[in-house]
Amino acid sequence: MIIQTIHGTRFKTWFAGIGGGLDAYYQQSLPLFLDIRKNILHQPSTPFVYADGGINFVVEPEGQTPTRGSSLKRNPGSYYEIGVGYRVGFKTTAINFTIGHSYKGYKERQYGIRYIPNMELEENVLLEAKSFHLKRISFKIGLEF
Amino acid sequence: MRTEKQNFTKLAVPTQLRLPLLSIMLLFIAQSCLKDNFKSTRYVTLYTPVTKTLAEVRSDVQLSTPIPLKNPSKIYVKGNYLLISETWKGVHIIDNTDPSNPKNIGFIKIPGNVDMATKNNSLYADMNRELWTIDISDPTAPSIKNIIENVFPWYPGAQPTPLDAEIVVDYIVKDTVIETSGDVVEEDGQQIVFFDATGNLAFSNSASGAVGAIYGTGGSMARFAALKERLFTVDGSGLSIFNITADMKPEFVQRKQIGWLIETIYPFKENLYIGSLNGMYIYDLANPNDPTQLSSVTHVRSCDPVVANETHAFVTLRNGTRCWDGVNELQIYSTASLTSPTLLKKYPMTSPHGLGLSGNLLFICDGKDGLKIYDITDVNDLKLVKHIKGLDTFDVIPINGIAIVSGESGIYQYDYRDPNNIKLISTIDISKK
Repeated sequence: MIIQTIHGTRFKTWFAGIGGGLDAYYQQSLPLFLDIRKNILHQPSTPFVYADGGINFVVEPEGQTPTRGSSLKRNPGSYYEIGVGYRVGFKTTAINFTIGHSYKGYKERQYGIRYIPNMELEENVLLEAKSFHLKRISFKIGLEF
Repeated sequence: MRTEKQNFTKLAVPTQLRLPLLSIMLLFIAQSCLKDNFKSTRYVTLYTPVTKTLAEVRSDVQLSTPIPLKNPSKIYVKGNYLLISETWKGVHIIDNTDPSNPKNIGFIKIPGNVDMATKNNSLYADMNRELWTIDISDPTAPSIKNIIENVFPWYPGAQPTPLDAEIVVDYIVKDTVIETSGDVVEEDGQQIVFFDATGNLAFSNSASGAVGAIYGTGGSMARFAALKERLFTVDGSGLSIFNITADMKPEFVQRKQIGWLIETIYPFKENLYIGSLNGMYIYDLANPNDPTQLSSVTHVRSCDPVVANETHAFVTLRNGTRCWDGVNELQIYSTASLTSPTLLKKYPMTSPHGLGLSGNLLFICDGKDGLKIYDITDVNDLKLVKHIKGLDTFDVIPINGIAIVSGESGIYQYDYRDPNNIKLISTIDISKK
């Protein structure tokens, strides 16, 4: 589930704007992106193509693991989406339906305890660094006003 | 000749629809890239043990050339010498005749050593399960005088000690990384955490000497304490007593089960103050062969070294991975009645470790918040005399106007004879290589 809002300006059949949202897929995140879209027809109802690109901020930059003494730190990654849609235009509003390919990424570092033979354990040691690449087909419905 | 005309029907795609159709095709191509995945880099350290037989280890006890301090733990003050334990490897001998210019003069190899105490010219040190008595009449020529075997079987990591047993004396350390990748899967695993109740970075105890005996002086986080012609040692759950009346000939008396998660022991006059993760115990030494418990106080589970004077016990509580989710504070108990100590006051701290007393001055090693020195004339209103920042401190031994402080990067000595002008006089660096 993703909720987005995009604000921008239209020039003839082109639209450009800045968008943001709340993306609950796998790891909750807040993508912030630039949006460009092109209407195919000079009509209120028209197919269109669109492309988004930006940064994917994770909602919880720090986390826990079931392991005692272990913690997670997450860093933003990139975000993009490309797709096509259909705009059903009314007098002053429109409804948009889109289908697209979406990507969001983030990095996660796990810190924890390093047990050293016969020594005091070391805490907050970087144990693992992961980069996540999350991809999906997205279906969206939007209200334009 | 016949010519055939071939007619091709051209599929007409309106120009304005080509872009959406192309996009849809791209979408289906992109479906092959829909798997969520990750790339992982694990940072791993490999430890390869280096072993010697017990016979070889015992024959190695001599003063070797000085080596840099790398993982110092207990510090003991014996006259003009500092004995600094290199965790699980041995003891550094530091000539501290001039505290402003301490000299590392040698190293005694004692694999498995964690704690020590001294009386007169005897150095009592644990070596895995054994208690070694080393003659340090001349610290530059130490020699083993006595070994009590298998007396510390409760120590974590203690190894069996038949003469042909292989004792781990060192590790070859190699850092490496493991690169993996895979599909994203929800992880729901649990791991069991090993908990070492006695693996402290710690110092030894402050002993009040009996008439005729000269005991060394240490810090607050020790597991060895020597006084009243006895050596007292604590492991995770027990108190062991050794009769050390005769120099170089300790005799094991008994081991008493006293509780759980025991960490430190601090002797003061006729009493032992024992710190555990759950509380503090006070023992009476009227019969030093069989100490009796006078009282105990419980607190939230935290690491808690303790020091005491005639009227009060000072306990620092610290939370953290090994110390559970307790609090970070100084607690002061009235010990006017040793059978019922009462909590008088709490002071918030950052990450308090060891502490030490000298007259009306209380020294607290507050972890990354440095060294704090308080005037304890009024325990209900401690006055901060000096706050030395920029050090990550573990423990402190204030003695004869010099505070010996162990820190992450070195052993520091401060001259506090003038409390209003406490100054650093020397540093013994700790090598991290």
